[in-house]
Amino acid sequence: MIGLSVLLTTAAFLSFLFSKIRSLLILSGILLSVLLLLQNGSTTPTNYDRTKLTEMEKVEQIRRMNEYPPFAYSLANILEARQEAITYFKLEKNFIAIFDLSRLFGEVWMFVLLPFFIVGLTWMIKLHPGFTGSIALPPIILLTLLGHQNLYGSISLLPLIYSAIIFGAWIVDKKGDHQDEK
Amino acid sequence: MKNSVITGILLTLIVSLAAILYFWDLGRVPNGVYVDEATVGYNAYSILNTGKDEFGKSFPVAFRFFGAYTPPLSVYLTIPFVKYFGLNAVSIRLLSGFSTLLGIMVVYAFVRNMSIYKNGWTAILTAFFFAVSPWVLFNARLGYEVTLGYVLFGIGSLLLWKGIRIGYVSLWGLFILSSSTYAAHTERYLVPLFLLVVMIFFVNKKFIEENKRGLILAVGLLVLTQVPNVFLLTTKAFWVKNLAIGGVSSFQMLKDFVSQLLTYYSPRELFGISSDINLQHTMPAISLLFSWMIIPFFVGLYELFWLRKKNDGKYLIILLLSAGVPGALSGHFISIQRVLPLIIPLILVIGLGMESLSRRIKPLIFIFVIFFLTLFSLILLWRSYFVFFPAERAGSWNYGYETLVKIAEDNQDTTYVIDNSREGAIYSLFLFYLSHSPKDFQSNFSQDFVKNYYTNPPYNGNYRIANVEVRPLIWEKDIFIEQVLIGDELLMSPEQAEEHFLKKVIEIKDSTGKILLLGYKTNPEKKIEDNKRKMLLKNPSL
Repeated sequence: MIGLSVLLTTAAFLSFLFSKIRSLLILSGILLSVLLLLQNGSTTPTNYDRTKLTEMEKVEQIRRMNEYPPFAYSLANILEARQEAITYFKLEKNFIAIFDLSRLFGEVWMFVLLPFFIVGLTWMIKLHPGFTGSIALPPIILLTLLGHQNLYGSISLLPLIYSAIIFGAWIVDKKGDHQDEK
Repeated sequence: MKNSVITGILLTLIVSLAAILYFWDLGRVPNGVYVDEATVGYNAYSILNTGKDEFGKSFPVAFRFFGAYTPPLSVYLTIPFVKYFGLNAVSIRLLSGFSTLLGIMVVYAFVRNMSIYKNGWTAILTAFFFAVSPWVLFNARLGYEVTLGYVLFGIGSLLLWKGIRIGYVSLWGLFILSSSTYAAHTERYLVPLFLLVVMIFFVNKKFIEENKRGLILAVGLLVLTQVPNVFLLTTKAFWVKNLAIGGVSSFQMLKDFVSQLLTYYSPRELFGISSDINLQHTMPAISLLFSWMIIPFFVGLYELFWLRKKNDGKYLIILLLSAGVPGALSGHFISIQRVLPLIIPLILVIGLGMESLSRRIKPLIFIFVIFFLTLFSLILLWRSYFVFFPAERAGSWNYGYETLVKIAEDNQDTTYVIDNSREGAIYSLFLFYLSHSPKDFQSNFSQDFVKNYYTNPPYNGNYRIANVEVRPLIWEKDIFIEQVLIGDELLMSPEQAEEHFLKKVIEIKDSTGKILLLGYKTNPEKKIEDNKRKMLLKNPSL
């Protein structure tokens, strides 16, 4: 189910990139939404509630509050115990964890495709900034909110990655042809 | 004129703030002395007093230390600090602080000299965020060679670029790049790779024709300055760090290389959680670069992609991509200190991104955001480095050994046996804190040892220094001699101590209450008596 969803969504993205038919945008949106639902269903969401911290988190919180010098106790309270700070640090951690190159491109064959991904993504942003933003931001926002305790990894990002790789390969190939023509 | 005055004032303010950050309370944070720092300091002290290193080798071209054969420049440059401030934690760390202050100017000059940056303020902003970045601050306050290495590489690559962009060979640039290979291991591999790539991309037929004399001089300069390294190439000393990649298949090596390269360049590694498991390399609750920098970093990469055909862009890409390669080739585990040369190109990319964002955001909003981020970043930096770091990483920085040395000094009649079975290099801490006579220590090594210095003779971390013996415990013997046995929490269980009639006399904790060092006084009389009693019980006929 997940594999099929990723495949169909990638196909929809690529179809739009190559044909620019606007109705494909709606299809892309629907398929991405399905994938986001699957991502949501397979992820244990991050707990942001400061009253429900794990034992380890509580121990660390108390220890760190005690490490502050006396003149900074009020700052310690803001940075270590306030709900806003706890939420901020957890969101920050979830957001940065999305961009884990060794997890996304760790296999040797994926590493070889990394340059195509970079070329593809950069051209996608240049040629279709709105489209690229709308297929990249929802998974990024969802993964930032939910966290990364999931069964299948960051599946909602896969269509973007695969599309960028294929689009990048196409751009490189096209440039090669262009050079040949010259 | 007016602009240059303002720029000068701002740069002075940045350098002053950086100087406060890099030198304030330097003897207390980090709140111990790491073995690598102790050995640099002690060898500088030894050279200063005897002209020889701790093993008795006169002015080495690579210091053996614990078997790593570290390039020598940082030891030699630490000598003046040790001479004027004595052998202590501050004097051995000053070199890194001053090097990093120079690094700020390098970043500023890079931005000013690269045409890919359009706005004059970008140079100031980039230099500022370089100065206060967690990774930069952390390395500015430690006392071994890695910081000097990456700053020299930065200066060399800047001067080289200033030459190339107007069509000549910068001999000063090459000289400093060549010198950086004597500062740290990473640069020894990075500089040849970097120069090769720069040559491929920038040295063409026209350049050769216009710079025949310069190129001949450059080759001569490189040959001349690399004589010591060429000499080392013929010895085992040069290759000790390369052994880490031996003994595995080519495919495994490729896999390791890919995995390490991706980790070092991963935004998660740079702006989030580091994969470096050595707690001595990082500080708690903060990433190598501030997490918000990920946004200008991505924007900067995007801009750089479109500038890749411009010479400035090409040079920055070469800097960025080559800086991580030696680290990725150097072994199976992640050590962020091997990729320190990445700091400058990364900050330059972030600067490019900030400039691009400043063009897209209203000036007032941009200034407000920068002001807010500065304040927020400095608070987080203070929280991690000056509050959490001394408390949570004390053990990783050998906190407690200074107190231990004081105890040993105050009790000259007692013998202290320090168990080094989990950390073979701790003898250097005793040499360092005691400012032990270099001549006395050198007498441990034979003429043969000194003669074969560069052939990597077997490493031995067991020594007697004054009333301190640093070696693994020998249970069958040590409990029958009157002395104090010292080690970490794993040294022995309370049951073992009770069984052998050992009395706890030393307990050193960090500020969180974690026990770092324990000392037990032996009771040979009681132990011998107990052994006799046990033997009698086993064999009453005795």
